[in-house]
Amino acid sequence: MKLSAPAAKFTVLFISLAYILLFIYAAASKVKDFEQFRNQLGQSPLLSAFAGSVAIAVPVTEILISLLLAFPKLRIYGLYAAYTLMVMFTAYIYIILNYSAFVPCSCGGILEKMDWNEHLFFNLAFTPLGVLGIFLESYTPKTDRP
Amino acid sequence: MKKKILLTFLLTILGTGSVAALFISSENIVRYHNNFIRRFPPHVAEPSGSLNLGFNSYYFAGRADGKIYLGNLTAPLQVLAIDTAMAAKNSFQIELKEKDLPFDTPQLKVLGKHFFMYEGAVPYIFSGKVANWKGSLRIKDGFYFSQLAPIDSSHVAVRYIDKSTGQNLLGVIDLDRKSSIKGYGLLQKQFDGIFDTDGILHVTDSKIVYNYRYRNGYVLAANSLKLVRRGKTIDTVETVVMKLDTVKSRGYITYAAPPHVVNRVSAVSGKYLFVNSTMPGNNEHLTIWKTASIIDVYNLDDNSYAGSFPLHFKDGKAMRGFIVYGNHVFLLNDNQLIRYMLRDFASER
Repeated sequence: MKLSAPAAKFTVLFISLAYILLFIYAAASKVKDFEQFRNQLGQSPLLSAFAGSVAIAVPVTEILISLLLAFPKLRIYGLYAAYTLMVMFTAYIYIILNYSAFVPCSCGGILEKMDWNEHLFFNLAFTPLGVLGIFLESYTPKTDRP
Repeated sequence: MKKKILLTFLLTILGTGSVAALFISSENIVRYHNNFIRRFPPHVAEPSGSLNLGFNSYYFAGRADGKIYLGNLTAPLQVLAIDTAMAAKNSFQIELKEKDLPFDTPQLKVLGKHFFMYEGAVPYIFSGKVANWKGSLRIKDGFYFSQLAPIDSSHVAVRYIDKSTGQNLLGVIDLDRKSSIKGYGLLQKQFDGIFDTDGILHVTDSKIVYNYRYRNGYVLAANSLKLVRRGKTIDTVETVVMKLDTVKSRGYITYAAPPHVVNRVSAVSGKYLFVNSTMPGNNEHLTIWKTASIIDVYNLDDNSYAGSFPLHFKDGKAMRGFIVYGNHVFLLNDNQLIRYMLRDFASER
């Protein structure tokens, strides 16, 4: 990998900001119409039994991860967590599309307008960003090492 | 670097695994087994031919004089008559005398030599003779209703929506006298009287049969709406499994979780009730449930369970409705009308 330390730093910052923007937006739109969100989760074939707790856990997790990403010292944990959450979302959509008896609807804001396949592509684009962030965080080109 | 690769890999497995585990556990909760046992006598119903109708908008309107009648949702005034040999196919156009009604989705029912065209949300009921398909207006006011099943040329059973409570209510309308009777107390409320009493209305041999959708029961009543018996289907869902939720921010009531349908569609013929159940019984291979709709047969005379048979999916699709006529079962599946031969297995017991 040939990348200067400032470029790596900037990339990580950019990825973190993108994730923060996404999570805060997603959490805000869920909280804004919380009743609707909880109801939609309940109708999901994967989650109906756990809708109440998941409805609170998801936006809280999104905000916590955004906080982790905001502080440089904690950023690496935030990146791991963000990546894991994106993997979970992607797996969820994949299972819904391929194994579930029916396809429900449960996302907020601008994402509400995406269909499930578009959503899957959106997630598949965001997930590798997480990996990139993890590997570039505290990246130092070999020549720079003392 | 190695540590990061390992950790990322582990997190990928953990994330995917936890969601998959959630899915599997939820599937198990939903598809729980009941302690009831089905009997599948061999060769009860065998496929015997099909007919391509060209459209998937047909529904069963009735059967009479060796023919079955199909209504068409996208062409409400059109009737298709097909003989039970599936050799002759005739299309008719219904003519309604009064045309100044707010028509939206008129529906058709045929009984004997008479047909009924109705829409319970307006409400109106036309009736006429199958001989010329000319209908005249018989009813144009009263409670809204959501289902109709003719009893004879001048009486129809309906499922009303009670004006004061909004709850489901069985009734019989006399089309000649323009009067009606209502069967208060026939449908048993479990929590709201609307969602929980949902079901399918039938009439057979002048008796009214109401098959609940979300619990293991049916109501049998005389055409005077006097209760004959409350019957049970073999599954164990006595109480409706349903959670409702009010979404105040958007102002509607809806399901909080997918409602647990027990009886999907049903049909009647003579003294028999045929129910397409969604509940696998004990010791049953789930494979059959993935390839066929299971029909349970009940004898309405003594509330006994007669046996079950499968109606196979076509290209992975379940049938959307069926009727039983003599020793035939007809089902609609996508564009197809499919016929099964029915052996008289119930009387062999």
